[in-house]
Amino acid sequence: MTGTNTTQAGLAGVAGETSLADVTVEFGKTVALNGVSFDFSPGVTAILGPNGAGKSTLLGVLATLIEPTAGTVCIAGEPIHSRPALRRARQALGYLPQHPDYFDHLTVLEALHYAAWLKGLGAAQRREKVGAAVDRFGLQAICRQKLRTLSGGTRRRVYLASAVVHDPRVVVLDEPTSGLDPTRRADVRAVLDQLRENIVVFSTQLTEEVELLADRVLVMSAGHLVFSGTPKELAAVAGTDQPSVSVVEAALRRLTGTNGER
Amino acid sequence: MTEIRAPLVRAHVWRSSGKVGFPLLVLVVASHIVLRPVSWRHEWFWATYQFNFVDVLLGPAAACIGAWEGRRLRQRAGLVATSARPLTAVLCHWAALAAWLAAVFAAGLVAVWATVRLAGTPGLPDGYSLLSVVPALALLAGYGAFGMIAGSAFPNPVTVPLAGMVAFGVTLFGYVGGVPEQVLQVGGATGSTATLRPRLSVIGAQTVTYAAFGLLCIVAIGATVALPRRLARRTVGIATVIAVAAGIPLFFVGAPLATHRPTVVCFGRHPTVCALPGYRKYLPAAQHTLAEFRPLAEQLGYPLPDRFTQATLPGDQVWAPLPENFLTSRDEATQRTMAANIVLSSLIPGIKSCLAPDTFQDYARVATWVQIQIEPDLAAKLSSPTQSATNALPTLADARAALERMRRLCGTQHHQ
Repeated sequence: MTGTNTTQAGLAGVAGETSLADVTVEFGKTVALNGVSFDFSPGVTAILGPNGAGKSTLLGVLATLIEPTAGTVCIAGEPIHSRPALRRARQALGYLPQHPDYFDHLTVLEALHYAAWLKGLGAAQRREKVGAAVDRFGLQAICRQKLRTLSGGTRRRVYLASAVVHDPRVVVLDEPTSGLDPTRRADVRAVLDQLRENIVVFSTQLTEEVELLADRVLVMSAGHLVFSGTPKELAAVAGTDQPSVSVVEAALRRLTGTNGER
Repeated sequence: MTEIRAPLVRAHVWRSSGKVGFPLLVLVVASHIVLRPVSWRHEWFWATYQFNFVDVLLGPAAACIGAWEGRRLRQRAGLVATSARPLTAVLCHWAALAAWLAAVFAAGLVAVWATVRLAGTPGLPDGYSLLSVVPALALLAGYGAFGMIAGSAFPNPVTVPLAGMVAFGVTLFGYVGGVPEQVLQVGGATGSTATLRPRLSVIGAQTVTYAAFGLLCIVAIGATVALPRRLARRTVGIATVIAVAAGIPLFFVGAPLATHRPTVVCFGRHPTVCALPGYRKYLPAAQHTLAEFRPLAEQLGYPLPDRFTQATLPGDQVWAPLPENFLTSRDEATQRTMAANIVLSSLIPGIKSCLAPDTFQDYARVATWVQIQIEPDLAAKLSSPTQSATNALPTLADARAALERMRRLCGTQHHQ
């Protein structure tokens, strides 16, 4: 059997470097996440699901932005029980929201230094990491430009660089390629590919990214984790072993009972 | 290539909304200095304390700019929230805004002090003057923090002017709304403060309260953005209790200013006139004018006080008071008229504010007699048919009788 329709009981209590154990999030009477458990391992994990499935909530919990109503969250080996634990977890975490526009009035270098400082890096470390990020993301030519003067794709590259400037062990990205043209999407994918040695979790509406990037796929539906496995295992849900765009979409329809709306 | 100097200072201070709002702040401060009378220019403390009043205008502007910074912070909420130092991050944004506010305040203060110095006032601002600035700066920072929390809680552009309006309303309420004056008043004096100086207990209580309020706002922003809800509530709750506790003493420390006997310089004899060193150049003319009244006072049966001084304290019965506008008056006739009033008030302390029946007419009678003796031309004017039809010019006997009536009804103690 290639696919794994995850049962909540089967994963509850899983301990790991970065994991969710029986995590429930309620907003008033709405249950956004319902007993989700998953153990993240190094590599790229894509989260798919229709609108309102709980993808952003799941990312919010991983990014420590949303406090679960119940369950345990462990980030980079740090169960989040207290403020010091939260602080340590956040140092190990890189997060990029879907619409990050917070650096627009800063130059690229200032933005990177600021992001590194927020993550608690000292001056010497900051200089070193910022220099490395500039080289890694090819930002040399635009170092002194303000972000608001850059194109959307380039800006997205800078945001990504700022999210990972401190070499986080866990990288959480909310639709990092949304709104980008195919060329820019390829650029971002190339960057994510470089981060593969870490735990990279991203949500996406684009099924092509499952095929091109993901090591694992999580499918959310109505607050439940309904599938976790490799892209090939997801393709198997649709009765094949090639996770092409159409196959992934078919598998999603089958898993979530939708018409492909994501 | 990838090196820049002081990147964090640049990211915080240089990119702060305070920098964007700096021209507005400069305009406010310049207006406060230029468009108002500079009668404070002979006294270091008066000049400083009157300048501190700029908080009434600068505070709302600070709240507006703070609201803009708060909006920006809200936009960065995801970034700040997942950072390892969310509170420090918010604190740094506040500090950067406060630095711009302090810079414009300091620039204005330097301009005011330069004006005082150029007016020939000797010395430098004393410690009390310098200390009086501290709560004014703390209040400004508090306004900025208020704006930040408003902008962060309601990240709508409308919040920016609204925050300013609320700040202005609160300030007005603090000045005219029956709130104990020490709660929000950090400056403002339309008359000389020669015998006044700030009370250290009020300076301390104000500074602590405003700083605690500012920190409360910052903690609230940081906790709301970055902490889980329950932890945020607890943190804000504890911070509120601490801030309220820090602010309670302010309601019990009393008025911001207390009287004191300042050091004065004196000139001449019979009478000797004394004033703060900044008025030194005005003393000869003032002494000459007052000396003209010496024989008149004797004719009225009261010796002219031997010393007039700016350093008179309330209830002081030893020396006659000397207002600063008399000293600095450039018009001879005006100065004489003012001198007549000063002299009369000095003969029988309390008569100017006496509300006994007919006192006003008696006072006018004596004053007219004095004026006529000093300015004989006035007698001719007052003897015109229209005037004489209603009032005969007072004689010395009339004046003495009027003065005696006033002494009985209103007088306290005769100057020695």
